[in-house]
Amino acid sequence: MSRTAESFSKPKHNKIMNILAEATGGKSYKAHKYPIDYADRPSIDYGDSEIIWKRRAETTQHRTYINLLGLSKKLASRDDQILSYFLDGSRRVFKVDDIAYVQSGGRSIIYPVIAGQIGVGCCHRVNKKVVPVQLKREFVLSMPDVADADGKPGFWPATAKKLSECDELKRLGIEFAAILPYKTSKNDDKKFEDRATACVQDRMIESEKKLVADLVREGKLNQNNYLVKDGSLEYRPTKEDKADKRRYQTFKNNYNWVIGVSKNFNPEVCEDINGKPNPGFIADLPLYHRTPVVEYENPMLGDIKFAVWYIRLRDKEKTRTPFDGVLKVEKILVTEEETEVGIDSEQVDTLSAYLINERNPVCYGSDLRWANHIYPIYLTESFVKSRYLSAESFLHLF
Amino acid sequence: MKDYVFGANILENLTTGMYQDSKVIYREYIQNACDQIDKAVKDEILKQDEGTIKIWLDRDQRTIVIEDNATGIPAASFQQTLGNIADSDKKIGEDKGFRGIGRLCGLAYCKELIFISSAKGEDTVSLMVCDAKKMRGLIDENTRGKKHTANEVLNAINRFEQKKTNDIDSHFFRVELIDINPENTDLLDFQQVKDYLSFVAPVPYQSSFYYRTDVYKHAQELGVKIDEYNITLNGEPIFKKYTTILKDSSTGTKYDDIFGVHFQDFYKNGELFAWMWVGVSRFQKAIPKINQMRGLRLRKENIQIGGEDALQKLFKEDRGNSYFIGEVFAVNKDLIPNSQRDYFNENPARAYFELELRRYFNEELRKIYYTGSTINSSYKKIDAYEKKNTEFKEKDKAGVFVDKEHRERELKVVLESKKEAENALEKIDKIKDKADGLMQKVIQRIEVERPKPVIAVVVPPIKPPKDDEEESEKSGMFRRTDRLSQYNKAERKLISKIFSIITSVTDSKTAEMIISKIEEGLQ
Repeated sequence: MSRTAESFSKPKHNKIMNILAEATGGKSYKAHKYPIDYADRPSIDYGDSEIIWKRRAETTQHRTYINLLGLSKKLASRDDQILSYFLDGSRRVFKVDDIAYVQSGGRSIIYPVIAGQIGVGCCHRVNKKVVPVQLKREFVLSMPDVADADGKPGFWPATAKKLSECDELKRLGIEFAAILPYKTSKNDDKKFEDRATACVQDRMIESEKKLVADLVREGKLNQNNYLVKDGSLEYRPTKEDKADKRRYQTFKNNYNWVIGVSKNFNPEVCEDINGKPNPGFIADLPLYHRTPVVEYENPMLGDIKFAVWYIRLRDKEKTRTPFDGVLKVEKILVTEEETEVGIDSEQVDTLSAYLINERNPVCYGSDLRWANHIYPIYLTESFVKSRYLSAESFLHLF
Repeated sequence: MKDYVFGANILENLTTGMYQDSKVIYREYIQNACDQIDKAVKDEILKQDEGTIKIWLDRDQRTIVIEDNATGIPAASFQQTLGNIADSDKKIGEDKGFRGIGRLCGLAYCKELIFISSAKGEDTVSLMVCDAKKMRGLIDENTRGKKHTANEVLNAINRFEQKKTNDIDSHFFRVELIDINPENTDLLDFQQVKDYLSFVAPVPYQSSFYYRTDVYKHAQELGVKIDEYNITLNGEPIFKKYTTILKDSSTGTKYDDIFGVHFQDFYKNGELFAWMWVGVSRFQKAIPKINQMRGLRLRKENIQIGGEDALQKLFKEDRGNSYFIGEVFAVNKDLIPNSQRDYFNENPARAYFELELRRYFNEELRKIYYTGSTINSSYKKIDAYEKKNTEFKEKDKAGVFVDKEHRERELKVVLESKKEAENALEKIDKIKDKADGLMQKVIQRIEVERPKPVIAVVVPPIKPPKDDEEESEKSGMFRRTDRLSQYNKAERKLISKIFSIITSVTDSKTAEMIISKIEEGLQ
């Protein structure tokens, strides 16, 4: 803190916004700075109507809910665990300034500048203790694409580098990893702030993907060591991954040991037999039961198929809404058998029962999403967030 | 000393004539790779768990590649190690293979068989290319009278090469089967190969079979190791496909589950000879074939010996083996797999092994599945009585009986069923009295899980009987015809008589159906 305080006394031209305005030919308005995050509140995710539920994707053709109480108790009574790695990524975004650029005709337009802190961390559970194993923290900025008026190649990395070389940031040991340009074209009805936030979010997902891929490449994951990732699985293999057919097969198979668990989801995508949205099917899910597994494809992610199911961790009577306490679980269909006939239902039951057993203790009181949290993920999230620069210190950089 | 001649036919015996199932080639090459991985771990070339065996099938190219990252063979001894036949340095009881003939099996199924290897610290990759097609041609000529010696054939088909490599740290052994014969296309069928390896290969149990930890724990207590290796097929890891549920053949749905594992150890003179685990279920019936894991399977060094039925002959009844899932691990060094690896060589150790297992199977295991099925059927009888009794009471209450005789006939059926149920209960009590630890567990499970009888819904009377019906008052029961109050007494008597005839000549269900229809028609 003392070092941050020191930075106040520096002359203004050294401030980040001044450097940026100079490098991009804009005019900084020194506007009100504030956080624009809502991520920590329970919510329904209404996005991605593109996702299509397809056929059942498990070996037993279940038509209704599956009770897992017995299996959960059985597994809990055995001193055995297969969920051992936990990964969480989070970001905090702030509006740090308004900046004006002169457009054709001499008219200038004001755009927001968004700054973000991204943290992606992974914890490993060994002998019933959860210990951090990896953390990646990044500071990024998102600016309107018009700031690079000429579209020079390498403009953004060069600007980020220039910024990070300024005395003030150097002294604080802070670097901006990237400047992410957001699109300013008018054929998108999203607000500029949201577009910028989406850029930061994408960067976070990229960072998560890299961390998962590292764990996969290092061969740390296997049938006795699953990775539980907070949020959806959105992985598209890279060109390098695909380069060698055999290496790619091996790599892909390692995703067998990764599951994604989401606290927020869009219950509307759950369809009944007639293809009509049926969110009630998830809302009425009884305690410690799971839904059948369905397959969905997301056109955004290419030919990779996903299996999805829902588990109720908390009694509906004890939560605020019927979707609280329901966990959405995703798994990539990896093996030949899985892509053909679906995941082995017994494996789904086992994974679900282990997840049910992760529901206690709860982070009641310290997190509004307590009903949907599983504790090791909450710990990982807390670990990542504990490494953030405080909002005040961060905003004072600008 | 005289030079003895080995004719070309000996090669036929060691290759095409050796095995019934072509898939054994996977077992043979895996077995060799495992031995080399063990050696590599011992020599500290690999750390424990670093050894891998990768199998790649290419259906389009018609090739099979099996590669390990173990010791590899040094260039200096490559030709001797691979060229000589039945001259292995391996030791019986220590190594999984020891005959020095297993690697030849591939010669039967492809056009060309290639062995490639490099040892750590060497800049040489050695190759042995065998013209398998030519070998089969020469053997064929031999059987038609154009005599060749084994030596001549081997010289004609084998070629050795060496190449330089920059990667001196690499160490591997690779088998390549090029151009698989059309009649052996099964060898390239991914699913068939995977299913085969899931039970034959020395691989870990899949983690959804959570009793695996009990099995490991027991092995640890016995001081034995279950050999397990990382084996992948086209990149997919192979696991032993044990599950905790038992499925029905017709529906594919769960009918029973494995709720625990039971262990049995066999000793001779205080030394562990063999040990086994057996899955405990309600033993309702012989496990249907759809459950791939069924049968007590025999393993040595964690490689399956024979098929799922290798131990079937030790049961008095053929069906015995199919009631169980489990594995018998042979430990004693004198239990030597035969060259086909479908059973053990005949010797005193095998005789003792069979004696002990036969005794346990027929005295203990047979009792369990017999008692299991007796208890299951006894409970079925009890449940049947409960159901019939409740149905009778419901019918009585609803006034479904046509007349006294009808009621009595049905009551008789209930009473007969009651008697059967009483006998069944007696049987269960007797079994319970005698039951020991495992049997008790099975009985408890059957009692907890038995399905509760479902009571059939009885049609309620259309109209409640009138109070002034003297006959019903007299008999103390409602008559079926009481509900047909629009008819006079004489008519009802006639209808009642018809109903009575129907109930006496047909079974209760059909009678009920006909009578209901008549009632509907008369309304």
